[in-house]
Amino acid sequence: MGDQQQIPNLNTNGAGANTFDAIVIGSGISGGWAAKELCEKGLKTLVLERGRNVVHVKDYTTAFLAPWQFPHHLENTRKNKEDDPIQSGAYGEGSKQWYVSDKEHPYIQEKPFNWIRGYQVGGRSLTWGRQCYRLSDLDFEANAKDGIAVDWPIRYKDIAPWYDYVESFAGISGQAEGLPHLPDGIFLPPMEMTCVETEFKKKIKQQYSDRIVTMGRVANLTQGWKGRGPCQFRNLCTRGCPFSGYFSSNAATLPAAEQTGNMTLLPDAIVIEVLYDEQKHKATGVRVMNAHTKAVTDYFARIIFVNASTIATAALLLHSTTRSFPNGLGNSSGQLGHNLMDHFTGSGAQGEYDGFADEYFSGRRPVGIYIPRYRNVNPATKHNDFIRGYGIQGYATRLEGAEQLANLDGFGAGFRDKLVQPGPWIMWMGGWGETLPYYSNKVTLDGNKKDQWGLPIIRIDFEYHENETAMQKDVKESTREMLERTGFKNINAYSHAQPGGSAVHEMGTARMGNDPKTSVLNGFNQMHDVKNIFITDGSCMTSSATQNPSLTYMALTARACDYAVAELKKGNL
Amino acid sequence: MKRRTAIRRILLTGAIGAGAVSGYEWYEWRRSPDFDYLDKHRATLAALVQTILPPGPSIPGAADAGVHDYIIRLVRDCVDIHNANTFIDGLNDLVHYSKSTYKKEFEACTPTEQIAILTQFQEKGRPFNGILGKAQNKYLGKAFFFLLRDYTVSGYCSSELGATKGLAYVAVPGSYHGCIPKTPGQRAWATK
Repeated sequence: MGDQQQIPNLNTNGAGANTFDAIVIGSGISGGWAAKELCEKGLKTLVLERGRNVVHVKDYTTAFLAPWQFPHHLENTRKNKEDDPIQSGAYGEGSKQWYVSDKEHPYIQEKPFNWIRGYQVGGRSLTWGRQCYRLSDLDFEANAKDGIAVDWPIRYKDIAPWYDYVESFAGISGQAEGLPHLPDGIFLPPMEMTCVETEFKKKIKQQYSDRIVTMGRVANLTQGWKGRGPCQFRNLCTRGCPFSGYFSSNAATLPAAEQTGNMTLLPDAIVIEVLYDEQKHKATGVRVMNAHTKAVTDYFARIIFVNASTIATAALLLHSTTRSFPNGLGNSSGQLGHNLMDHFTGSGAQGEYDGFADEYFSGRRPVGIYIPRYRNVNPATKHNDFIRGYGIQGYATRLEGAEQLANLDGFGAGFRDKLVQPGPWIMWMGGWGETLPYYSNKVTLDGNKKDQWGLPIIRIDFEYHENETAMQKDVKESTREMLERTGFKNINAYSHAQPGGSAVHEMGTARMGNDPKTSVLNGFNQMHDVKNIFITDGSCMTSSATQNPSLTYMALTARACDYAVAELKKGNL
Repeated sequence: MKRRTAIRRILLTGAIGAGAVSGYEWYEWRRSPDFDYLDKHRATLAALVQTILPPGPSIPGAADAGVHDYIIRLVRDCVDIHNANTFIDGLNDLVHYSKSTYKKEFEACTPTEQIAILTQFQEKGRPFNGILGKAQNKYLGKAFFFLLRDYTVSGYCSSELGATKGLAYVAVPGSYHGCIPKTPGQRAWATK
């Protein structure tokens, strides 16, 4: 990746040398997939990344450090918290290098919103949570059935083969369960449960007919896969994995794109505008500013994939105004930037389990258990207070080290001896809930304030509404009930409203839909207004569903690339 | 005992917030901590952490693991200003208590005397029971002894000696087994 020989010299080339078949804006999860697919289909592809280059393995500078090799043993400093009030909530001493500086990259929060970002080659694919769940027709039909927002232009059958396709390459470990509303994928062997998780699973099955406990489905490789992995169970994924044990752009898609010889990867390249030809009604390319020299260069291509991430993609298009599109490129519907969603989090329960005192585990598993959605799945599971539902993530482990402090009294040798033993088993569960698409939750550009590159500062205006609040209450109650019914004690159920963005699942600002009057993209992630622009990051999502969304972005990206190249060959673009 | 005064005021007025603490107390919490005091009392800190986690026949103590140096770094760089002040003031109290009660520095006291001193600070730093105690911890923060114990434990468990000889640490496990018998004398894993 990032072969300097392939990078065109800035400012010195004519249009010819700066012309490619395709341009991909962004190198995160979806941009990486677009790069791979387009390059493998033979398109000379320019991949633009606003952040620095990150060379797989070589640049994972903290990957092999033990806790004591960090000055503060992985704690953030006061200065970190002052400089990066938002990002420091997500990073630690081992992963800080993958997060932006809040000072250098300001945004305006109309209401508290955590915009967690990683500006580098690979984007947030280096730090993502890695859980992968398929959407189903329960999700794709939901808006139409509920009369919410607009209908998804696709159904499960349209995306199912593409889920197969991306899972087969990425490598997802998990357990098939045969649930219609959380379809099985192509799985590598699941990770093991702890003793208490297995016991909990068994008891949940006895106690409830509407829900199951399954192993988290995760893009960590439980066996060697396409020259990557296997996972070494260090649970240090967020530092970048030198074993390629999990899926990232850097480990998987970008090397595949590179291997074709068709990719030109250009880091430090901030796309400031998408260029549009008023006569041809097409995008012609992009205007790029070097992040350091601020030199501006135009690049041209026949198709453009925008994968800058939900909020940045909306901002880029809002900033790309033309005579035909005074309110932002592709925004004839007026929906661009609106319908911002995230999953709500912050509710759940924890309890202690007596028993299994002589059982333990070895290795550090990088995922927990998952309880697929069990509310409003069918008439029997209808909840009166809200529509849609939530999934539960959790784990059972033994308290260790400092986690035991709350349970230990005193000090000295007796205290020490208890401290260094494995503590009691505890189980924690938390909900990840569907957030409805509200027009009023939106991304706009500030009229006056600009960043150091002269780009307008982004305003984010987001809040949860009654449906999410009611669901959050139910998360607390139902997780408490599950722990009670399965024999846990000292149960502490909680619900703390988290600012939007806290799940780092931003979606929806350029939604897909059948009608160009009410949506930005069609069923192939193709812009209704400008046919040679495709958007396949989270901004395309018509509803948020409950599932962790990245797998769906991957599948939609591969599908859109297939369609785009076919259309290109037919001469339609 | 400013903490106690403030807590009583919360109890009496039923209000938690700006009205519950005086401007002076607010200043007390926010003033610039005297971090150099920590370096000057490095030996005292070493003796304190070693009293909390003493060495045993097969286990290193906290000072052996360098936890006092970690705490100096932690308080200087990481701990919020209010807790840093509580910690440094508490250390100062303890230094004086040791001198006035035993006529010597804490580090020069016998193990029995050291335990007595720390017990005294533990007892007077205990939060109230129940909800009031939760409010006390949330709004006033923990008392010196409990901060010291928290920092000692987290520093010990993340130090090389503490993680590898006190607890169990494997850099690259290579595999995961979810449910296996605990081995005799099994130590807890140092990292999740």
